[in-house]
Parts: sequence; C-alpha cells; structure tokens
Amino acid sequence: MIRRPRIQDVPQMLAIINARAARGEILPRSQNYLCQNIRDFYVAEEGGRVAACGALHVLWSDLGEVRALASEPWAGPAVEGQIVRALLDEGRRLGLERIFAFTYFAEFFVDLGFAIVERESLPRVAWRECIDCVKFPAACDETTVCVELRKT
Amino acid sequence: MEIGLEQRGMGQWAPPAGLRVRPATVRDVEEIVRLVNTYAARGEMLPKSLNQVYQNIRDFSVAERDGEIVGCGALHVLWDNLAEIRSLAVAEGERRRGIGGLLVQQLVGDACELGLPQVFALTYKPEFFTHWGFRVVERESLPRKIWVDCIDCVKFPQCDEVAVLRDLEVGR
Repeated sequence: MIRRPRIQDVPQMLAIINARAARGEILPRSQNYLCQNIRDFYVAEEGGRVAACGALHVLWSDLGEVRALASEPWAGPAVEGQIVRALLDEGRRLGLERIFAFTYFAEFFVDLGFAIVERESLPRVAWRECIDCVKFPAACDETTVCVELRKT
Repeated sequence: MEIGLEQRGMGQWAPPAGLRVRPATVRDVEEIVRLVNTYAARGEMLPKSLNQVYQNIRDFSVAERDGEIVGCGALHVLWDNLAEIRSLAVAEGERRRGIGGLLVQQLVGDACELGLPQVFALTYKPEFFTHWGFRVVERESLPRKIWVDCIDCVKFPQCDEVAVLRDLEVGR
C-alpha cells in the first residue's frame, strides 16, 4: 500500500534511506530533513512495516525532483517503481511540468518514462543540493533523468 | 483521519457559503506570496519568497471562492513532536467571515493526520487562536528547535509575538 507517511514512520524511513546512502547510492538524510520535508514523501507499507519511501521536492513552478528513493532489502522489487509512479501523479496534481532525478540507476527511471538528459539542460535551481556536494562540480558521476509530465 | 468539529474546538458552526479550503498547487504560489507579503509589509507577519513557498508547497492550504484565493495558511513540521502554523492570511475585504477559522481547522487536521501531538503559532492575534482551542504559552517553553527559523528574523531577539499552543489527540 502506497500512502502518506505519518511522523511516527520517520525512524523507519531514516533507516531505509541511510542504509542505501551508506552504499553510496543516494544522499544521506537527517532526522531534521525528514521531519521538515515529511510532506514531500510517500511510503510503501508491507505487512505493517515501511518497505520503501521516496520524495518529490518542488523546486519551482514547473519543476520537481525525486529524492531519497530507497527500499528495504526484503521489499518486493517493484515497490520503488510504485513510489515513483505515485510521485509523478502527485507532480501532475500539483501542476508541475517536469520532474528530474540525479541517479546511478538511469535504466530504472527510463523504464518509468524518464529520458536521460544533459545535466546542464536543467535550470540552475535544480542544482540547489549539488553545490554542497563533495563531488560538485567536476567529480559528479550521476546521470540526470527527466520526464515531461504532459507526455505521460 | 477525520476529526469532528467538537475536537477542532468548533461546536455548531457552518462554513461560509461557496467557500472551500483545498491543498495549494504551484499555480497558487504567486497569489499566496502577494497575500502574505501585503501583511508582511505592515510588520504583521513574516515575508515569504516565491522560493520559500514553492519548496514548501505541500505545507500550504488555500481558501478559494469562485476561483479566487481569499486566504492561505501553512502547517510546517519542525520535529517529530511539533508543527507550526505559518503564513495564515485572509484577504483584506474578506476578514471576519470565518475564513481564518476554516484554514486553522484544515491545518490542525493536517497535523492530526501526520500524527503530531502539538501545534503552535507565533502571532499578534492570540485571541483568534485561543478561540480555536489554542492556549497562550511562554515563548521560552517551546523547544529550542523553533528558534532555528527565528534567528533569521529581523525582529530576533526583540520578538513581540505571542506563542500559542494546542495539544492534539494522537491516534493510529
């Protein structure tokens, strides 16, 4: 079941996100970040436990970013895709035009309708979190993926 | 979670005709910023940038009548036990019609759905909030976490706002 998180889900979400971050696959997140941005998130619940989570962060009137997408090892393989689809629906409801992600798993996003694009094709506001990244700018090795919501 | 009017501190009360409160979308942002900054210019609330509202768009609800935005308000989660009502504003010619109360109910309902035990606000209108089930508390009784935002305020630390707090029923 995909649902909105409650604040009581934050400890499980933190554990899931930061386990994936420890593998170098996504950025780590603090409890403060999760609390203050809890309303960006969806979670997948399986058997009464949080199996996966992901966020859609709105950056500007037309632009959103998928962040903090992660799942438990025991969760079904499709669960992250279900989260992303829910986030895309949310983006449409909010009136966004496009949603992007920085990722090491471009094929995952391409299967969900995203296209691989040049990082420089995104507006500068998309780089908000990048400028604090230890890899910014020269060592960035993530792939940029983007989906136009009107075409999907 | 559906919460009853009684729990919201309401008693018998009907919302103004033709009015609805709904979650904001990015299309509402310019109007929200205009509304909030009208009051901010008079020192009655904190100003908000387009950027701040876009990035926290999920926090916002708007009151709408015939497609026109007549009020707005936000519920921002600060920590796992505390949320703040922010940027509560009703358009000039629309005040004293229950719109602010409708928005507060929505935002308190949001906090209940999120499972938060307490909601607070910093305000110049404490009697408005006490009407809606809040109580006046010492600013210093609130957790230090809230000052993270306050320290950027032009009025810090000579703040003259009143802190109001409401306890919520946390169910699962």
